[in-house]
Amino acid sequence: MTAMIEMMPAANWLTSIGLGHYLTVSFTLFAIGLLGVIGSRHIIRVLMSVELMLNAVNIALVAFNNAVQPNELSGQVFSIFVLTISAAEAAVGLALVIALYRAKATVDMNAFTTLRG
Amino acid sequence: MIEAVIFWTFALMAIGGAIGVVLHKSILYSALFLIVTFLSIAGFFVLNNADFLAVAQTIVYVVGLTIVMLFGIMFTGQQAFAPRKRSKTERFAPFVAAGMLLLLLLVVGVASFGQMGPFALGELLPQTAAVLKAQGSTQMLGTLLFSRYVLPFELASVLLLVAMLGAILIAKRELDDDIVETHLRPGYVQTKAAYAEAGTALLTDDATTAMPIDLNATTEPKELIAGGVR
Repeated sequence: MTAMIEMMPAANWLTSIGLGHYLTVSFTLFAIGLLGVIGSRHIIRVLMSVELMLNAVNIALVAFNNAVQPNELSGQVFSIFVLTISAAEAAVGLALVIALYRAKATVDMNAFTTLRG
Repeated sequence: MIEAVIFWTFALMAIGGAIGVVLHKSILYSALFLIVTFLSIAGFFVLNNADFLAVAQTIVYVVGLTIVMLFGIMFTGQQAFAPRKRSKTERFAPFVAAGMLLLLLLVVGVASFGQMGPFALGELLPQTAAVLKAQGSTQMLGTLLFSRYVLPFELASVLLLVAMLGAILIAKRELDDDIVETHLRPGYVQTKAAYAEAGTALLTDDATTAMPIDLNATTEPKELIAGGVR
């Protein structure tokens, strides 16, 4: 099967889906997430972008698991841990957003300058 | 072939949704775009023999996390930000940074994994394929979680507990002093008495004649609410 795919002409990237496709999607999502983290002003949008980046990592983990070691699911276990930690991160992050909103009455990232020297 | 069609559909939805999350003007629509992206990623998991993860993704992200985000949005409200002048470099710097990261990742990814067949997925052993086909990945995942990864598993549960306590502690307002201060204030008791009077008056008298609350009393509860929310 693998040899067959490798023998196919390169134009067949459209129909034969492999690790590279999933990695490309994962990298693109990660870059878009980074764009949101450093580029947006709304603090909740920053949190959402962090979740996007974590999800991109999850795609890469699962795709690698399926490509490198499909008979053992270690990558998926790691993905479960990423999921757990991102849930914890979202809970604490939103609590921080609410505390910040209570202190500053805004969710604008540019308003949170208390620690700026 | 059918796998390719499904993959490209999910890929378009995931990337389009992600762009919507980052670039849409309204934060509420961003949260809804986030649902599209998360569901497409669950689709990728199904394509990669990770059916348990797809379900977990749907439950944790699509249902739980998005609802929490929506609660956050509702709680803080939609407000226009103060307009702020940004120079051209400031406006395009994030795009340049993200684009360069993407380029770097793609180059490194292709360079590192090119030799092991970037367009090929691994092959399942026949017995694993049979197990996966018969009962999905859940049982294998559970066995791994409770044997080889049992310590990280327990640590993750401790982390969740600590995160929950921390979130409650951070988000809760300092009530202890406020309760004593506001609820035992003489004005509060008076106001309550005035409202109780008004209520009985409304019940017993005509509604037209019963307007016994003076302005002094009606402003008091508003103040209380404002003081409580802070």
